[in-house]
Amino acid sequence: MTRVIGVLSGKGGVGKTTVTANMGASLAWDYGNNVVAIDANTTSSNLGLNLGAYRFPVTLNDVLKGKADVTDAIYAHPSGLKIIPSSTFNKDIDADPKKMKRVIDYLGEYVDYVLLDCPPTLSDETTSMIKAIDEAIVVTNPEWAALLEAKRTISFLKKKKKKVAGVIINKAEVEPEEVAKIKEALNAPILGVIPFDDAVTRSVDKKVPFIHVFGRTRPSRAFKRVMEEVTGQRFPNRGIIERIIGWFD
Amino acid sequence: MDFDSFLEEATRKVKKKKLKKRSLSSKKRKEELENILLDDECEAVPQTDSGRRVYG
Repeated sequence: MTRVIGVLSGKGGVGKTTVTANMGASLAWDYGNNVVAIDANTTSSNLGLNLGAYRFPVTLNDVLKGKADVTDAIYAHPSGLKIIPSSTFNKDIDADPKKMKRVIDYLGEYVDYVLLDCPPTLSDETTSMIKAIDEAIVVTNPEWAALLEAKRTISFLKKKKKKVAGVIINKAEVEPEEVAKIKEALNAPILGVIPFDDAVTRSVDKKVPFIHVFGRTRPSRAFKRVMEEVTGQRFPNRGIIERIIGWFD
Repeated sequence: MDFDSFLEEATRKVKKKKLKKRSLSSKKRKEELENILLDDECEAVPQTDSGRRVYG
């Protein structure tokens, strides 16, 4: 059965796209799943950039405008992940996000996971994307503004009867007591805490997800644990030494 | 690549692919989608040197 997961936040700049790129590449490369990652931010897209490309001849915007078939807008990342990018040009922003559900229903038959890198805020575009998903992962930073927006997003998801798979606290150096407080405040499970580290920034420069290009760094070790939470399966090829180091992270 | 070069490259007009008007049967469309999603029969994202080292 296909899992359609939206990656949301409320506040912008918390790391949704980085989470989507890493999760998608890991589900495909490490876990061997068929995965499609969709840049559902049709007005301010950058998933492609995180994965090494930003100039696409056909995009999701063309599909939502009825100018192209979804099969024309799928691209293969070397990890095995398939990407449906959005346009980076202003002339394409009038795409109709309400057609998203149809695109996903069409893909769902063949893939194990569909990941949607959703826009920030609870705009019409975001709410259309929420209608198309089954469950959500909410990304936040340990700052009041981001937490407040995460709380609003979670409340909205619950009102719409969408499953909240959990929260990722990103770019964070927080103590376990603070994590417990955030969990209580957001009333949602915490999938993991990804520490702030320049390996993440450097991976974007290298256009390869950090979990693969800097696989032994702290954020990667933390992200592997997030992957175990999301999939319910042990991270493949995560050696005993890495697991022991992980206990002290 | 420095930021100016990146900006120039990223904002340069993209040549849109000429799409043929297709009236595929749903069976054909399904076959096409299956080939893309399961057998990678679609355009590839360009590989970087780092990507090549990681993914081969």
